[in-house]
Amino acid sequence: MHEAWTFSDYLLLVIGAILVNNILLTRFLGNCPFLGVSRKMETATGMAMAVVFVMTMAGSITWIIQEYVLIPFDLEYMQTIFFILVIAALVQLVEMFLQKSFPALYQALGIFLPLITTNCAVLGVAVINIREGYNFLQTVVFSFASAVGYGFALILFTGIREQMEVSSIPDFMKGTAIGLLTAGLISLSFFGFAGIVE
Amino acid sequence: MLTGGLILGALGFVSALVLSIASKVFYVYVDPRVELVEDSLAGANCGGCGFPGCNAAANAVVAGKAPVGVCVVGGPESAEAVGEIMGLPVEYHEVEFAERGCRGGRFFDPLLFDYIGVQDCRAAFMIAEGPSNCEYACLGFGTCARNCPFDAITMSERNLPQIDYSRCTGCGTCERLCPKHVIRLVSESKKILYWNQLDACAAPCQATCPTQIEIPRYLGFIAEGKYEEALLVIKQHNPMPLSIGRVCPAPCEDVCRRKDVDEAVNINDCKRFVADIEYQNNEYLPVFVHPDTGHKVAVIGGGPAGLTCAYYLRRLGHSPTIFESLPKLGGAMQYGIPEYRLPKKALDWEIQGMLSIGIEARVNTVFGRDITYESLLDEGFEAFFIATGTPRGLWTRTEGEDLDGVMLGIDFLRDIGLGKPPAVGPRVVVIGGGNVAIDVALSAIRLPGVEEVHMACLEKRDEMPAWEHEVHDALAEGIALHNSWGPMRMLGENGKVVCVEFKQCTAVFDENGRFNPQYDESQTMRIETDSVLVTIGQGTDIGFIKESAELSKLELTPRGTIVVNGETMQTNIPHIFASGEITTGPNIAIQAIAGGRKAAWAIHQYLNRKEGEPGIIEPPTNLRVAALDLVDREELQKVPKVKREVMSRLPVQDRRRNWNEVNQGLDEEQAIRAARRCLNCGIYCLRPTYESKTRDFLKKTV
Ligand SMILES: Cc1cc2nc3c(=O)[nH]c(=O)nc-3n(C[C@H](O)[C@H](O)[C@H](O)COP(=O)(O)OP(=O)(O)OC[C@H]3O[C@@H](n4cnc5c(N)ncnc54)[C@H](O)[C@@H]3O)c2cc1C
Ligand code: SF4
Repeated sequence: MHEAWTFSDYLLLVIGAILVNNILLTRFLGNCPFLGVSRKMETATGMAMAVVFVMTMAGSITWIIQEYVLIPFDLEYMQTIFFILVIAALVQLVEMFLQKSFPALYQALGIFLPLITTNCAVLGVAVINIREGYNFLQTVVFSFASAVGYGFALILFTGIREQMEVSSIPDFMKGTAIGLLTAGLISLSFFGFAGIVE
Repeated sequence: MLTGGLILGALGFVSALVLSIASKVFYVYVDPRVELVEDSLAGANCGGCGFPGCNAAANAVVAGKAPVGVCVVGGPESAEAVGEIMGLPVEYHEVEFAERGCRGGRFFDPLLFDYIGVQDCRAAFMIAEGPSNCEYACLGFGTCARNCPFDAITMSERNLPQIDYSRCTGCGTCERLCPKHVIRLVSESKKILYWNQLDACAAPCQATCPTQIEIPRYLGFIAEGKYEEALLVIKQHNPMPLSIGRVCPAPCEDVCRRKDVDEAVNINDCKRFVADIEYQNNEYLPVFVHPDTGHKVAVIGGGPAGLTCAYYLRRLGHSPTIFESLPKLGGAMQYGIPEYRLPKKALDWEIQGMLSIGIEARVNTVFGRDITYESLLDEGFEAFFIATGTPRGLWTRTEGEDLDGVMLGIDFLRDIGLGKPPAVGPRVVVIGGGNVAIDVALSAIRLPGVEEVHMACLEKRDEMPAWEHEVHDALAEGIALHNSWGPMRMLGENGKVVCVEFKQCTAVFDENGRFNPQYDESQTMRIETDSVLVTIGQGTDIGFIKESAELSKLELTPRGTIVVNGETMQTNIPHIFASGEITTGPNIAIQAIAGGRKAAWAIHQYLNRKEGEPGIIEPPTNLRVAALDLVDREELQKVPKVKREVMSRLPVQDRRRNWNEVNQGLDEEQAIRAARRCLNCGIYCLRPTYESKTRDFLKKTV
């Protein structure tokens, strides 16, 4: 366990999660929605918001499960299956809750909520939280920041793809091909942040 | 291991329990119809309906904020399915498809500047409305093609969008995206109701044609071998191409820009060619007819004007009935234009096709005698269209005109048309120098027993109102032409005409260009004859107007034609419309067709007027009235010269004593060659750099 964290530690955690260890561009998690919903800014922002929501919730709840179910019963080896179960149930619950209590938010997140139930980025963050030995607060902050990083990368990428729609691209490069290349380049540029936070 | 399983199971159970409780606690009523409705929509999420996606559209339908026919892509089937779910009646909604207005595009248009920015029309448009010289031209960056959700648009080699109608659903994405409004959605009704707008890329021919047929477009189809498409383009403006293709003097060809290169394109011959194909196949091409509206319109007179008006009213869903005094429809085309120029079999076949879309015709019914204005009102007719033409021949008023053997040329032709040719000859004199006189002379010479036909007119040879090629034919077929002679008197024996005396005509028109013949009575000439056919003009026959109290309120000109608004054909009585020769005096058939089509436009507006309004129809706005002649003649000189196609004709010696058609039409190779000569003119294409103040600054800075 770490010493008591100061504010700047948290800040570094946030910057680290958003830029340096961007879950999408440096850890390469959650690539399929990254390519799938990045054609239109509208859907991309919807997706980004949904990810922020779900990732923070999932990160927190899985931490609790780990701490109060898996560790006491020595079941850490079943972590993955437990997490999947819990995340899936959680997302369902959240969806129902939103539909009832915050219809506007529900409308905005729309179909993206169920879509990311089993997103690897969500699961990935949950696992990272445990592996890094974060406490509850750090877990919440890290999950949130990772999700923001995810949304940030997604929106950035969508902007570029919308531009590409209207530029002349050689036929053989059109569509996913140029998309992947661009993702690679953005990713490379994100490696430039490496080392800012150790 | 076991505990692991158990705990997992327990956790799963707890989650399930929580979820099921939550689903009760957080239960939100979702109208099950939303899902059903959404399933009945096309599911393309194209936004053609104006809602962001099918789900939103379904919600709007269920909320009552959108009609059952909201889904343009799903069309009538979807509307029906949705109507069933919602328990609502389906309102008819006509399908629309994308159509491109620009024919030239970047290919013809000298660009104002080089644009190297984002290759998108919307982006290019932001800079001074794009590099294009013409404000109506396609920019050619293919934004529509890239964004069509159904891949129905491709860009041609000329960088113009090409629409694949088997794929187009009419979702309207292209229309919304195109910054220059080159692509628009149009329905068949809109096409029928269309008159050239200011922004129409109207070629000189198209702007000159009275009924505004899209000539370059149909010629383009013929050049590609797409004859049915070409015919349908023609029929949007002219329902009688088979007949008009034979008799039209083609004002369009007079202004054809190709004349600046070599000779005019065979515009009318190409029209006849495609119409002949339909005729030879003996199968009417199906055309769009709007579902019934139930409005009844009385059409008085079955000539080209009446037929055309009825035809377009029917295609717009109304129920016109034609009332014709003679046994057959067709008017002067049936009972005037002779068989050797327009075979009646072809004319009848064409008229039958027009009627087959659901037009009722009552022949042998004289308006004013068998039926009256009042009786038709009682029958429930809401609007009237009067097109009785100019059936009355004019007399010369010379002495002896009442002798036996003297008759009106127009009556002579009508009797031939009715199948009972009058006994004339063996020597015949035709008085008059117009086209009708030539038709009379050439008909007379075809009759058995007629040996010689003379034609005498006031005008000199080069002043004759008849078209030069007609005069030429008359001379070739042996008509003796006597120019500059006016009838002085007709002499008879036993009440029967034997001779006509003529005096020399020195001038037909006075210095103001008015008809005012001067004679030199010292110079005379006599022609011995057995029959005289007076063919010096026609007038309207408006007895039925005078006899009806209501109709006599119609405003008339001194020469007995009805006064109408030139664009709407509406008379001073709002529910009465008129066009054709009853409004213009003697004219050409295509003018009557244009009048009929204009009247159909206006009657349609009249029938759809707001409840309680008198229905005085305003003419359409932004009409293009003339072609712009901004052509770059130097550019035209670069066009390779190609000879005009010459139609084969019956040799003169084979025309004697028979009524076989003289003009034989173009064969397929000729028609394609002829159509390929078309320059595909637009209003601005091929013109020198466009001068415009708003763009002057660009020329300096870019
Ligand atoms: C001999 C001749 C040759 C021509 N050649 C050509 C040519 O080569 N090219 C060309 O473009 N044009 C030509 N024209 C002109 C062309 O035919 C007319 O411009 C055209 O037919 C006019 O159409 P419309 O409908 O106004 O009248 P019309 O065709 O005259 O039709 C009027 C109809 O109304 C009917 N009618 C009249 N009174 C009544 C009534 N009271 N009740 C019921 N029905 C009534 C008539 O019987 C007639 O059928 C020619 C005309 C003639 C006479
Ligand atoms: S060249 Fe073609 S488009 Fe131009 S005026 Fe002649 S027919 Fe019409």
